[in-house]
Amino acid sequence: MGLYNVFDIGASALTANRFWLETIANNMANASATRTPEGGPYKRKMPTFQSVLDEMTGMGGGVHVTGTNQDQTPGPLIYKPGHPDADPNGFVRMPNVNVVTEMVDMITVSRSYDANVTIINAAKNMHQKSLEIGR
Amino acid sequence: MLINQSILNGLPGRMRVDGMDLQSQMPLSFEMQGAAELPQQQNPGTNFADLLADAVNKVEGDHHKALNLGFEFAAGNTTIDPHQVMTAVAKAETELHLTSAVTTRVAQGYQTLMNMQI
Repeated sequence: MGLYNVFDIGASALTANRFWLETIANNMANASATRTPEGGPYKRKMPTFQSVLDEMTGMGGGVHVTGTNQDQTPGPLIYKPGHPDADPNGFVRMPNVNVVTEMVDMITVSRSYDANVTIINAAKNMHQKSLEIGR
Repeated sequence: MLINQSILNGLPGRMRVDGMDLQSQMPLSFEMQGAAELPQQQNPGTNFADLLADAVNKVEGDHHKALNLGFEFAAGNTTIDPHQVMTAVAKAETELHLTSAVTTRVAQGYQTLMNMQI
């Protein structure tokens, strides 16, 4: 109904950004995890977002998260002969998490969150202004 | 909050609103009786009381939804995001402003009508 769609679309974007930040935090926390429950070193996770289409009106309905995918790029091999996960040559496969990449993604998420909150506030201000018609 | 229109005369139907208990999770529900018996001549859109009741019911529902979200968030339900609470509160607030403006204008229009000299 009118401007209230903007509230819902903005809220879906904020939820997606919050999920992305969780993924980034998980990547950073596991930057040195050489073993995982499914075996092998930790692989960096990236969320995928899909736009929502409202069938009735044909207009956009926001965004929703379809899930996370693992980055299959192999991580670096570090020489650590005493490590329990070292292969026979003394090399350990570390996770493919790059601190700088994660930090840049975090800045992107933070700015995107701010921008979406600004849009919601703009919609609310427009709504308030429209009440002054005919005053 | 209970709205009982049966005290207003000359209305085609009755609308009952069940206020939402803040402890329960049930959404606001209302039932409309006598809608099928609307006389053909009367246009519901021009009925001031119906307009008022419709707007107030919707605002009440959204207001309760926002309140419940806020209480659950404060109680520590971690599945609720802070932005969900704030957008629900913003929606309820803008709807309240809109309803207040609508009712003010409607009442002014009614007053203008009533002051017409026959």
